[in-house]
Amino acid sequence: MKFIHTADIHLDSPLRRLEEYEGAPVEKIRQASRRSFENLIDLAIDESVDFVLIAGDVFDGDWKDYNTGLYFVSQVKRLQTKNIPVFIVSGNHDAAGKMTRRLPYPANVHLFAHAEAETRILENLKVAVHGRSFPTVSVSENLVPGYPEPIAGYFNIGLLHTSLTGREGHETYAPCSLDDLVNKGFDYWALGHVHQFEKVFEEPPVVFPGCIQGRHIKEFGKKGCVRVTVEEERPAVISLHAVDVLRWERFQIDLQAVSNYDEILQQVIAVVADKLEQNNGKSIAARVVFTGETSMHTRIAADPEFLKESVRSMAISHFGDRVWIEKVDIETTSSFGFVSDPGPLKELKLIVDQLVSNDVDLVDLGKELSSLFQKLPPEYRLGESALQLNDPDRMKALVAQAHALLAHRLKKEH
Amino acid sequence: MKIKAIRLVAYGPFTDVRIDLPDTLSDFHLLFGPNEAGKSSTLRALRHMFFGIPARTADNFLHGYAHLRIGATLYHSSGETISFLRRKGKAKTLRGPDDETVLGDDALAAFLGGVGLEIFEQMFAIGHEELIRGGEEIVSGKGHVGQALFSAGAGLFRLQSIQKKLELDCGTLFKPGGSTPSINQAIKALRTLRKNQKDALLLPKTWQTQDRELREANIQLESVKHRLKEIQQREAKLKRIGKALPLIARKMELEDELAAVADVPDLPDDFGDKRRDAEKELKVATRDLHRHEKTMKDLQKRLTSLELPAPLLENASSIEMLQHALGSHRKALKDRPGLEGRMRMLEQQANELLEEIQGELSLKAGLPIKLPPSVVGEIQTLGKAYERTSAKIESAEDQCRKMERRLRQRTAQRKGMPDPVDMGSLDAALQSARQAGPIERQREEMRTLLAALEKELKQSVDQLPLWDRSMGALDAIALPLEETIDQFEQRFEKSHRNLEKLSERRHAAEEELVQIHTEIKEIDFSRKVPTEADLVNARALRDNLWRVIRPNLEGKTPPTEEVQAALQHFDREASLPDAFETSLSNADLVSDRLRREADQVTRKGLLEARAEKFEKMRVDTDLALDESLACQRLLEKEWAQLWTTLGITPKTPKEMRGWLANVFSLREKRSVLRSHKRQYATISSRCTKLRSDLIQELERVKAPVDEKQSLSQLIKAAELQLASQQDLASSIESADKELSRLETELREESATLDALEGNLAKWRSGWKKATAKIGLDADLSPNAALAVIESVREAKIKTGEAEVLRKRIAGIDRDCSDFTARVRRLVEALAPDLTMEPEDSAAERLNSRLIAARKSEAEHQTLSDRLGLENNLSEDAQRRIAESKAIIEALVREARCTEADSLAEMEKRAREKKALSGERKDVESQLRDVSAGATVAALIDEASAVDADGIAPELSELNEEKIQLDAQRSHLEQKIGALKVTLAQMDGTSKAAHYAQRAERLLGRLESDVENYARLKIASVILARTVEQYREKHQGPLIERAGELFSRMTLGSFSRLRADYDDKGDPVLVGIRAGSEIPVHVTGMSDGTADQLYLALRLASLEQYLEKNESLPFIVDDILLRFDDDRALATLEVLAGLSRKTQVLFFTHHRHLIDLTDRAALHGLAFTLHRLGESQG
Repeated sequence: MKFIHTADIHLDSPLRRLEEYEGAPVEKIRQASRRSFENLIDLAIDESVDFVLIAGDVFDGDWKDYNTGLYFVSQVKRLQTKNIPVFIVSGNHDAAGKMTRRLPYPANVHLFAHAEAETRILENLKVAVHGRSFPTVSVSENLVPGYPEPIAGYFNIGLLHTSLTGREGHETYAPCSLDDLVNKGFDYWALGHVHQFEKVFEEPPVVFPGCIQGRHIKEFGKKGCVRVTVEEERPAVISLHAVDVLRWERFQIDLQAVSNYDEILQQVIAVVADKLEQNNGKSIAARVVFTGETSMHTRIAADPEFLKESVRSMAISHFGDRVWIEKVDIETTSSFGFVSDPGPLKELKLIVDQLVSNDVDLVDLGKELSSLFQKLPPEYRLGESALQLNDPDRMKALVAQAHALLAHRLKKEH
Repeated sequence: MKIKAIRLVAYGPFTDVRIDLPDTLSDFHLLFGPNEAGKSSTLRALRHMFFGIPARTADNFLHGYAHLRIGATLYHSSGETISFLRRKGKAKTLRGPDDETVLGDDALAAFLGGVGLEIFEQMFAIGHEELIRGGEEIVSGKGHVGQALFSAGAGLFRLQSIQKKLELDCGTLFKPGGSTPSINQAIKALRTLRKNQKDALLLPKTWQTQDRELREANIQLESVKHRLKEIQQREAKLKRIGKALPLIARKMELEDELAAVADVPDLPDDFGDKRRDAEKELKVATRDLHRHEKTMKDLQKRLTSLELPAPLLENASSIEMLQHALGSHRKALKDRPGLEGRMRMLEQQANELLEEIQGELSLKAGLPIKLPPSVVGEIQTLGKAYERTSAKIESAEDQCRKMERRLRQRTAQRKGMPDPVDMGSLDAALQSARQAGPIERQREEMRTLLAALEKELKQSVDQLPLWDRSMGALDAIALPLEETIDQFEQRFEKSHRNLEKLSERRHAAEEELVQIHTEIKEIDFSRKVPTEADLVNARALRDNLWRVIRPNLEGKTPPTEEVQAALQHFDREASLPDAFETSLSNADLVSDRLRREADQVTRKGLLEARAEKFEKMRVDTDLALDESLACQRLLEKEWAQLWTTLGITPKTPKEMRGWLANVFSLREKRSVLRSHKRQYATISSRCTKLRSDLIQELERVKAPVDEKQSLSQLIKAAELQLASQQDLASSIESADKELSRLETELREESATLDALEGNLAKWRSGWKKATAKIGLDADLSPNAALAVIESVREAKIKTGEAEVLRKRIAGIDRDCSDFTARVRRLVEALAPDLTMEPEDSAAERLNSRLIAARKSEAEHQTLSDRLGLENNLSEDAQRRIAESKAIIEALVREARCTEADSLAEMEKRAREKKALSGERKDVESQLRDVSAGATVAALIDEASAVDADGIAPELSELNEEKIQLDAQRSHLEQKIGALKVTLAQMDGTSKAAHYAQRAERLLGRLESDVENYARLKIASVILARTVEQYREKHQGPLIERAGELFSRMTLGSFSRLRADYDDKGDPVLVGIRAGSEIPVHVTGMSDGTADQLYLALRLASLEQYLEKNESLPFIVDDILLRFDDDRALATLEVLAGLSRKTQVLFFTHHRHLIDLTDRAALHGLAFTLHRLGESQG
């Protein structure tokens, strides 16, 4: 017996804050979530699996387009033609979007009820799937006790959307302990909600398959679905199959040893090329973070845009459409310490020191930007790395960059 | 930190240069380097020495990168010193003065007080360019205090452009009211995208409504279709019954009619035909029988009338044979006489032929002569052989004659040819002449060349200057060495240079003197400058008067003469107090003037001192000039002596070197000429020898020779001679060959002739034998013998023919008698009446009687045959009559009739019955068609249940309902189609997702733009705050100190500086005019004054810095270019003042400035002057 366990598909949810730039491989990321879902369906068909489990969050809560639902239906219909049943429990996102329940599913799809847990039997395989959908967005009760008892002589699978006892970066829903699950007596727990692949327990297997396509830098690395093979009396064989079309990767590069831009770019090329090879050439959305004490610090900090553009044009010429430079973070420090410049430049340092030592002044400085912030659309503020004027740390970093910029421009012969 | 010494070991143009900067006098160092003396290199060396030599520098043109070394000895304020050398490199570039000990890279850090290259350049170095730009910056900033102080303090002159650039950078990202900056654009684009996304959104309700409607419409459509089907069925049924009703009625009628004819038998269809055929046959057969019986009677009658002669017919074959033989019998009788005549003629011709050849035959035996074919063939062969042999003999004889004639002609020709001569030695002479080549032309060219060379040389010697003697003499003289001439030239040049230098110096001194005197005159002329003596005089006068007045005040009266004496320099009327007052003010005036015009006095004093100096210089120069001239004359004499021994008056050494070169070239040419002459002589003698050899040889072979001919002509003659001899030799050879060939051929031809004669003799014996065999005369020629043989053969043929003819005539006679006998026998037996008839006509009449008998016999046979036939036919007719009667009887039985006559009636009735039952079948078949599968009986039952009159109205009702339903169906189908299209468009498109993705990309861009903008904006704010804070902190003391310096540099034209406020309330710098206290804005200051203001601010800031920090040398590069002399001097004094706080290095390449400092020195300005060009080794 062979089945696919997936979850957190978040169909049509866009890749977050992937900054547009001239020459960026826009086509590569087009419909990324749909294409990864198609990869999943292809896999199910190619492998001739017996059934597919979806442990919640097929759709994104914010997403209201019924077209997405219709698209989903068109894909599961492909499974219908191969007689592959699909079992779905809705998760917090599905409950929010309310799309999941209204779709004209084909006969091979079963969406579990939300009023109480129910069981579906696959007689030919001797498989029993138990599941319960989220009735509301926020389910704070433990759903496991409500699940039926295992049926003797059958392979019992629990399909559940949960955060267990809590997972970092994920909101707590349908909390339950690992003991709750293990002691239930099921043969496999197909969980959803956590976007990172995790085998929580070996026997019986308790598994988070993770999302099928990373949508931002926090969802980095390989993404896909879990394929489970069960042969009589043997432990289930569980493997993660990548179906993602674009992989988010973070590259931290220490610039301690470099002395010019060229060397920086060479380092970037080396690590990115290495990662591409590891990923078998799968496209990458790369965040490049420069760190370390470096003699280049002032030059870089004075004009971070220049370095960012250099990295991007390098990426275009070296990797073509296989790499999207999502962001270039500069976290370098000066290798000289700060030379105590005399005279008026000392005054500059005094002003900066005074500013950064005082949160009130920093926030006050933010007011200088109010004319801009009044114009910004509200969704700007929702971004993870959006500038928060009332965040002293962000302001401190900006002041330090502004200081470097001024020190460079005041000294540099133009 | 102070620099004690700079070492330029290997750098730029310098090698091992050392500049000591002692602070004995003061720490103000003036480094003067005119152009190219290395001022700029020294300035650069200072920077590189402190902060390292950059990777790329142009200072390696003398010393390679690896060898560049600059160093210094530095004093730290703490008393520490360091000596080091700097080399080029990335690390460990500092070394001890020994260039070996490696110092730490930060060894200088303490000495530089932590200052980096950029700050050092901005704060501790100032050049002309920077000064001007600093001044301009102040003016363009309208004297904004913060900016001015900040710029001057940091040594910046770009503060404003930096501020502007920041604002510009911000502006490209965002403007509150703008639309083009990238953030503004992104916000707008985002709004559009969100709208597009919303438009592309498909709501679940929309889709579900459509889907439900579709399903409902489908159900309705199904029910409409069902009802339509029912209507169709009912319609079909009604129509079918409507069609069946008339058929059913007709069927009933037919059933009745058929019942009426039930007793009539069913007769087969061919019954009528059979009856009619039988009746017709009966009639025809009866008629045939009558006709045949009558014919038989006629035939019997004709047979009995016919007669047949039997004996004639029995002998028919004999009669016919006679008839056949009759024709040939009559022809033979006719031919016989002709045959006999021909036979006799042939016998006669044969006899004649034999008689003609009787004489030619050796055998007189007469005929028949035998002619065996073998002998005849042999004779014919021999005849042909004779012809061939005799023809060959004839041609061979002819050939022999021709050859003999030709042999005679050739022999005569050969005898006429002369004998050949030996040409070996002529040939040898000719070869040598040829090998010599175009020797004559060479000789000619040589001669021309020689003449030209000689002429040219003579001309050159004639034209050689300073020489009037011959060429030979020129070869003979000993010329002075070139080195000697070089020596003289150098000595002359040195002497000239010396003279030139002296006269230049003298000229300069004179010019300087004129200048000084003019200046003195100007000073004197402008105003008589009072002297110390004038002051002493004025004071003496005053004191004298005072001595006279004092007693008066003490109440004493001075002696009158003393009063007179004291008053003698004044107006007679002047009272003593007036005079004293005058003298007092006069003394003060002189004193004041003396003080006030001290400058003029000093300047005059200086000028006079200078004049004296230059006067002395002029006299000294004159003396030196005289001495040098004497030396020059001595040298000229010595030079002349060198040449007079050769009889030449020399020109300058340079010219003489040229002359000497000329002479050497002439000598060279002469030697070349001589060698050419030798060559010419050799060629001439060779030519003569070749000619004489040729002439001698030609004479020897007796060729015609002209002694005057040239060598080439002689060569041609010899070649001609050789060629003719060769021709002769080859002619003789070919003639001899021809003769021997002719002789050989003649011999061969004669032998052939002899052989042929032998053959002929052999033939003759053969011939004799052959002719003897048939008895011919052996002397007969072959042709004649053949003619005799031919005649014999002809005679024999004719005799044979005559014999044949004879035998035929005998045959004819025998046949004739046989025929006659047979005729007689037949006539006797068959026709005695013809006994008297001749045989042939009797035979003919017998035959015609036989023909008539034959005809009767044939007619008899024909009639018998016809009679038999007719008999058969009549029997046949009787049989047919019987058969027909039997058929009719059978028919009558079948039709159940009593007699044959009622047959036709019965037939008609049977036909009518058949038609009725046929029609009934048709009607039933049509009913089946209509019944649509049901049986006819069922249909009739069904029809009986329907009201026939109700059918039409019901059909029309059904039709109306159907039209209504059709409309409904079409409407539903359209609706379903439209719904399906709409649903198909809701196909799960990703349009909205696409817009959402684009929006995310834009938001990403927006995030980084916002961060950029924030960074730039904050930088801009911080800079403004820094400038302001710096102003607030330092404004007071800096402006005050800068004001003092500014006042000194503007020679008191401004008394101080002050912070004022402009229209906007911003603090601005203004200069306060001395005396009037009027504030002057920077925009109202001249360029030079603005420069001085900037410098004042720079120096004031520097002083402030030095108060709290380790001092660094202040490097000044020619900043006084735009200053007038007085302000320049004032500025130098200010810098000298600064040198009390830190070392000041002032670089200049203007001599004028050095002259100024000369003057300044007189005022006690303490500085050390370094001349860069001169201290350079």
